[in-house]
Formats: sequence, structure tokens, C-alpha cells
Amino acid sequence: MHLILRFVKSKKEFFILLLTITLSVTMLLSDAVEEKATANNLSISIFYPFQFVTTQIKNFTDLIEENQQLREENAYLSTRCGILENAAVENRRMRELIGFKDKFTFNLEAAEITARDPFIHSRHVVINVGKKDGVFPYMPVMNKDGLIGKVTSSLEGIALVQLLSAPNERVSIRTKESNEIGILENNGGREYFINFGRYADIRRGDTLITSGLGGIYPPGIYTAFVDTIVENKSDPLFKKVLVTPFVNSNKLNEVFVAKMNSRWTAFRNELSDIEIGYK
Amino acid sequence: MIRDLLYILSAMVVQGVFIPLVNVYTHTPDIIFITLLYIYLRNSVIYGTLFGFIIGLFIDLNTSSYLGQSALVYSLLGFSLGWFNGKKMQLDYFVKLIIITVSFFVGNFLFYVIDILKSSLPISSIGEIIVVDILPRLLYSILIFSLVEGIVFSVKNSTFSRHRYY
Repeated sequence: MHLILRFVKSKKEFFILLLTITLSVTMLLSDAVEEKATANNLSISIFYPFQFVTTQIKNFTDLIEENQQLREENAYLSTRCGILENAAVENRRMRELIGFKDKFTFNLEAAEITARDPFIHSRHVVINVGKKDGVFPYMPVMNKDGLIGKVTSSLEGIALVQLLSAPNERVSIRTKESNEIGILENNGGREYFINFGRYADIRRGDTLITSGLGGIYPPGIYTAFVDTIVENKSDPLFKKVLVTPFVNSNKLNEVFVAKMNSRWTAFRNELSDIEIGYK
Repeated sequence: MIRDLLYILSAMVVQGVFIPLVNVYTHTPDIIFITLLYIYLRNSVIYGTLFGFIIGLFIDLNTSSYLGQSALVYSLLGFSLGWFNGKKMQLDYFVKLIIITVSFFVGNFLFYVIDILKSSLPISSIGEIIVVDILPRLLYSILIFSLVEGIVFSVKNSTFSRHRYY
């Protein structure tokens, strides 16, 4: 026993390394979804004040630039507003004429980004609405430019939003022009791509909107546009289409959470069941 | 320990507030990682391993990285760099620069390998990641580090010269 203790003492650096590696690998291999979410929530709650202060300082430095931009945008929008009001009246009248009904309606909860972590590999932001505002996991988040991501966890007054740049984020989309359906993927936010069938009708500049097939995002939300089409002759089945999201996640300030109606609750319950099934 | 935590917190503030202002084609230097490597060089193997593990775990819990991903990478780097603590070569500006450069590359490489393995991306994409993401960030981070370290090094040297001759 004494010898073993002496050996451990003499090689304590290696034993500590072994311990940390074992713990890390165990965590990496663990599938305890619920425990991970609890740990994340706890950590975010503790770290939130610090993130909040950092974000406020950054916001302050951006204020002058933002003010100028807002003035320009205000002038532009007030002009556009008049045109759009007319268009909305005309649109309503036309819908009534053809008997078209809104198939999908949802309430939007306005929220502000109060914290974003400073780490390079960050792929989420914290918003200032939570359970008390009716914001729950799997609710889509967007702004006027398009899709941003989805709520992954929700506390009483804040919620965590996973951005499109998260490596495990997949969005079912379709092209507005040709109705081709695909799955938007990314490699850690460096590149956004879709593997379309080789003969799919895709052109540079095509607009991608959510298809509504994934069960989380409602159809018709602007997501990205086609940037480059990579024709790989060695792959007879697919062509890789590189796209650029409409929303620049580095310049987010205000967002909207789509509070989905009961039509989507079934999907949410199903997803929760899947998670429980994993445990 | 408190001092090192303060270093990391300061690095987080700088990374979150000022660094986004100096992005070049969306690439920004990773000040937090550089600070962490610098702390490793100044401390023992055990301290580096444990400090790296704790900070890594903290980062994993606060970001969307996989739980244990940063903890594993940072504790391995803490262990490796701890061996350089107290060595004379540690004082040399260029040797320190090389150690930091290699560690930065290895750390990011390991991080992305875990990312790829966990997210079922093809392993072949690591080459692309190195070129598109790791190398530009490495160069930018090392540039910032060498500037800061160079200034500190020259100030220290000039102070030393004055004390010697007067």
C-alpha cells in the first residue's frame, strides 16, 4: 500500500492528467441529455451577469454607428411603409377574392439579445424573454432579415438561442424559385451547404426558405441564398450548394421568437419523447 | 489562481468587446486561448492540467461545444506546457513564440477533430478546416501575441540595461 502511494505521489502529474482525460472522455461519450441541459442552465445562470456586462459594454461602443444606421434605415423604412401599406390592403382584398386563408399563424415575441459569450466557438446567444413570456425550447427565432435559430433552453426570464451556425443544426429548406427541397447543414458556422440531387434545378442567387418539413420551423421563413454551386464530377448523385444566410449572426440586436400554435406542439412532444428515449 | 482567473476574465472582456472590431474577413484573434497558453507556461504541470480542465469545462458549459471537448483539449495542453515552466528557454522571446504557435495549432486541431467525430462530418474536412479557419486565426492571434510580447520584452530589456550601467 505504502509502495503504491509512493508510486502515485512520484507520478502525480500523470495521474492527474489521466483523471482529467477520463472525466472529459466520459462526458464526451455520455448521452445524458437532461443532465447536460441542467448543467448548462445552471452555468448560464451563474455566468449571465458577466455576459450581460460584457455585452452592454460592446453595445455602448456600437451605439454611434448604430444610431447613424438607424437614421438611414428610418428614412428608408418610412418611404417603404407607405408603399407596403397599400400593398397589404391590395393583398388582403386579393386573398378574399380567391378564397385564400392564412394556413399558418403564430405570435411573435420581441426579444433583445442580452448576452453573447465571447468565445470563438460560440454558437448561441441569450435573449431577455423566457418561460414567463411563453417562450419554450424548439421555438424558432427570426428577425426581419430571416431565420436565426431556435430556442434550446428556457429559464424564467431568459432563454438560450442556438444559432444556425451550431454544428448539429439542420434546417429543412426549399428553394423559392424551383421548390427543390434540401437540408441546410454547416461545418461549425464556417460554411453553409446543402447537398442537392445532381439534376436539381438550382441557380446562383436562388432564395432559400424554410420548408416546414422539419417540424420546428414554420414554412416560408427566409433563410439563405445560393452562393456557389460545386459540381463534383466524382459524385454522380449529389452536388454541393454553398449558401449564405440572410442573417449575420454577429450583428444581431433584436430578434423575434415565433410562439408556435398547437399545430407544432405535437412535434415538440415527439422530440421530447425522442430525448427521453435516448436516456 | 485568482490572478490567473482575472487574466482569463480580462481576456474574455477584450475578446467580447474589442476583438470583433478588428475582424479581418470574419477572422478574429483568439485572445482567450493565447492567454490560457501564457498561463500554462508560467505554472506547474499539475496546476496547468487542473486549471485547463476547469476553464475548459466552464467554456463547455457556457457554449454550444460538446461537454468535455474543451476540458480535454485544455487539460492536455496545460499538462504539456507545464513542463516548460521554470526552464531557461521559456525566457527566450522566439522560443516562447514557437511554443505558443505549435500549442495553438495542436489545441485547435484536437478541438476540431472532436467536433468532427461527434457531429459525423467526414474526417477529410479537417484539411479544409485547417486552411480556412485554424491557420488564419493562428496567424492573426500570433501576430497580436508577438506584438504585445515584443513590447513587453523590449521594455524589460531596456529596464535591465539601465540598471546595469547606472
